[in-house]
Amino acid sequence: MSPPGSEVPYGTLDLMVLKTVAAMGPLHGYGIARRIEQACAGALALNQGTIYPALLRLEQKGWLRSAWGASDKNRRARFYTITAAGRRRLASEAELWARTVSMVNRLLESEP
Amino acid sequence: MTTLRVLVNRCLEFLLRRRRDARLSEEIQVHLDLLTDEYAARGLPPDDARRAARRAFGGVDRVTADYRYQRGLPALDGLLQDVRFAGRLLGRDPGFTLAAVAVLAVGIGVNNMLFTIVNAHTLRGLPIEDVGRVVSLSTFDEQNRAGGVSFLDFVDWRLETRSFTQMAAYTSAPVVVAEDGRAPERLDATFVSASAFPLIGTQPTLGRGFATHDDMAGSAPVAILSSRLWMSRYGQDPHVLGRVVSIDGLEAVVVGVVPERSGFPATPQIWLPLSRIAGLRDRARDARSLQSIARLRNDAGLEAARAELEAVASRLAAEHPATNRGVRVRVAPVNEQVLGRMSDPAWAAFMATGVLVVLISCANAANLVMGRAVERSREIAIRAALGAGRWRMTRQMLVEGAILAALGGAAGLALAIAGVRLFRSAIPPQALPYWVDYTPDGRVLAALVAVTAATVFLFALFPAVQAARTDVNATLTEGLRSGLERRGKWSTGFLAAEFGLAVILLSHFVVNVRTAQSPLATDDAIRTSEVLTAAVTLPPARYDTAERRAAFYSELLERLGRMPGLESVALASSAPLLGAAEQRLYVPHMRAPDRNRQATTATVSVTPGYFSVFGLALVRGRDFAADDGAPGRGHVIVNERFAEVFAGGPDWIGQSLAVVPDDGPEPSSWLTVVGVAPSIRHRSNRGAEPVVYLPFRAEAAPSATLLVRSPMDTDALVGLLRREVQALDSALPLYRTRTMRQAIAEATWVPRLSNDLFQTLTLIAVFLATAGLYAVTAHGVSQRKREIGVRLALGARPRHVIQLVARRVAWQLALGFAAGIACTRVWGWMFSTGRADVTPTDPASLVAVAGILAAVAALASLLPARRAARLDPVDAIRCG
Repeated sequence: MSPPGSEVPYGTLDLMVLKTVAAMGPLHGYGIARRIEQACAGALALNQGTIYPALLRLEQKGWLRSAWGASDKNRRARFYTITAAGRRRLASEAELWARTVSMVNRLLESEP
Repeated sequence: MTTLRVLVNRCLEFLLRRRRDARLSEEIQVHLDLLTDEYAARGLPPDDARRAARRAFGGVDRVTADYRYQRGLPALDGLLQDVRFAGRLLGRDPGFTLAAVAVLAVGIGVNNMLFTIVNAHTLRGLPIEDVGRVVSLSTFDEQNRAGGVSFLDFVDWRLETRSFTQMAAYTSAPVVVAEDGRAPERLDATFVSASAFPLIGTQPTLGRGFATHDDMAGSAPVAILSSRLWMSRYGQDPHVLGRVVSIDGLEAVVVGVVPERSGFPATPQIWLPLSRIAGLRDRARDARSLQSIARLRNDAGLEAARAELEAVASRLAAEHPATNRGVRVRVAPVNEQVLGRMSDPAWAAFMATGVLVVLISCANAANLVMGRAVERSREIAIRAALGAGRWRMTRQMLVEGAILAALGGAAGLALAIAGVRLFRSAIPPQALPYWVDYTPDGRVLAALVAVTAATVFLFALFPAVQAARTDVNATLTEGLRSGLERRGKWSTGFLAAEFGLAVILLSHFVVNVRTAQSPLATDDAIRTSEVLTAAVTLPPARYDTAERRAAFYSELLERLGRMPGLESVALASSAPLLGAAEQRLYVPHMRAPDRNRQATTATVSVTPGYFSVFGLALVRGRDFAADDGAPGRGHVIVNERFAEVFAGGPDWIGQSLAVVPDDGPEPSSWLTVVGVAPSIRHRSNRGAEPVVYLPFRAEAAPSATLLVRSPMDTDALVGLLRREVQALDSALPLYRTRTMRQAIAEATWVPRLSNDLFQTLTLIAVFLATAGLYAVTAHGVSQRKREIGVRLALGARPRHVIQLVARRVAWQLALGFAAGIACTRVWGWMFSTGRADVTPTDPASLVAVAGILAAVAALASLLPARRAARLDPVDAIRCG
């Protein structure tokens, strides 16, 4: 259910968001988007808005939790925190991702 | 697990969707602000920073749309949106909305009203505790003739079966209740076994029910009152318990009063123990005058009970062949036995009529919706061009239909309630058995909802699918013309259906009028105002011979004849419209109308003065004299109809005839006709029929109807008559005292009410069809405005334009009429009506129906046609 027009590989946005929130602690949408862009070092053209449907989806599944809080510039913002279920999900998703990548890599490298 | 959580979350979000939308827009705003700040910090001027932030964020609308799709229940959301949109559209076109809702309300309302009535009579069931386990027990013999049960058989049934927890027998008969200080009163009594009340679960409101010892022969006699009697005779006196009353001359103690809405088995006023019937135990086994009900044991099925009772019956048949040979037992659920079934032809026709009216109103509504869809086709085309899917547009229009139907259903319920109330008010009090309850119950509401939902598919589905098929290109480029042609055909179809269905009712209406027992023409000849009727019954114990009875009657007439204020007084076997006997007729050298059958005639016994009570003068001859009917003075009066049927002329004076009861011997002497009376009806379900009036004193029957014409106040008159009767015999009640008008109303309410109801429904059906025709014609004219304008500009005369409109109407009418004849044939085949010579599809009926339809259609198309003919060509062409 990747939003149309995203240039993020299918299904990876959820993983990236989970990872970001897990690593950085409570973050608001802007922070998450910023962090993903930084981590990808400009290799990814993210339409930042697309993370909101993703955040909602993850929250519906019970992997994220959100609450209002104050940003560093003292503005009211919605902060997202990962839940225990979210951490378990992240672990299994990350492992799956690693397996997929190594599998694809082996396949690509074996070509003459 | 996760799926469930998502679902729960989505439902919550759906309920909180406003707050979620607010939250998203706030998040987006913060996000954009932070981004703008970031770009500004990098040195961009404020405007550029804002633009850059928007670029980085992506399309806000797209994000919102995706978010919404992710959030809540998008399907339900869309539906709500449709509902809001439909509501707005309907609100913008109040004329259409009102018309459609009104049309649907009439259909749904009539349907629901009829269903309420059928439900009350057949489906609702008796108000008996756990009625499903109560069965009715009866017998039938080798010729399949139904019968009750004799007391001795009943006792054996009760002793020898194990399938029932209780078994009760009962029978009804009139009794005379008398006590000191109150006029004797004749009441409908039911004699029951002591087990009857516990069996049906009736608890007395006052005192006790019958106990087992009340059933024993020789026990102290007791009686239980209905609350109606408690009210009318004892003014709800709580000390009525213990009162000693005389019932048919024997004393009994009042021990209980039964609540209002329990009047088993129908409408008795007083209950007495079965043991009160004299000599019941000594009656033969083939005196099967009792009825019986029983409650099945919880572990016993209907079949097992039937088998067990059959076994007892065959044992009894073997043991008592003279009385019980071939007599078998019928065990049926009491509801089925007492109530009619939905599938009875009368009820089925009733319900089918209800369905007809709904169908007509749906066809009407469909045409309205269709007409509106034509007007809206540009809007629909634009929506389609903007990407609305076909399903989405169909759904939108169905939602509109559902809103109309829901409004129609609500208004229909109100109409139905009002209609049932009106219907109820036309039924004389006490005429209905106690279980008939017209208040709407769950079943009625369920039927209302089901019918309302069904109408959506009947009137809205087809136009919706049609509209969604709109050819976008054609509609937007060519305007309305292309869609119009196709839809014109469909609306003609709907109209034809509408007329076809209306013709069914109309043709039956015509038949009704043609075969009418035209109540008005002859009945109006009777002067019913200021006439009071009452009844007396002379108990056989004290009036055992005809002479004694004749003496009582003549003394009564003499006393009343001396009273001032009474204009005329007479006795009769029955009053006009309230019944007559049917007897075999013999006439010397008669040419019978049908040689193969014994001629019969209605007979009424009357005293002198009978005709003058009703303001009638004899056509020829004379009225009875006081001594007519005495031995050697065998005189009779016939009516004009009799003279017509049996002699082809009125001159019957001096001729001879003889009448004998159906089971009587051949006549031994002739009676001489002394007068010819005008034809009045004696049986409300017959037309004018031959009647022979016999002198009352010839037989002096035990029961007589007293007829009095007097300008006095009814209550005073009743009091006076009662005093006179009791002066002759203090234990004799004067009963069924009512004005002649009341008596006729009470005796004829069934045919009158069903006739009124049917006429009203026909009127509604024809009105709906006419309104539909008007709407379609008017709409057609307004759609063809430009064309008509061109025709007028090119020199067409108004006459031609009217022809143009009329041709279309005539065509639609012809189609409808043809459809109607077909429908009527099918209907007649399903619910046959009694008469063979006058049918809904015989030529005379068809001509009448066609005439009515043509008149109505002319009326409906007059206005639109005139409007078309008067169009100003310039205006029409410019704005069309």
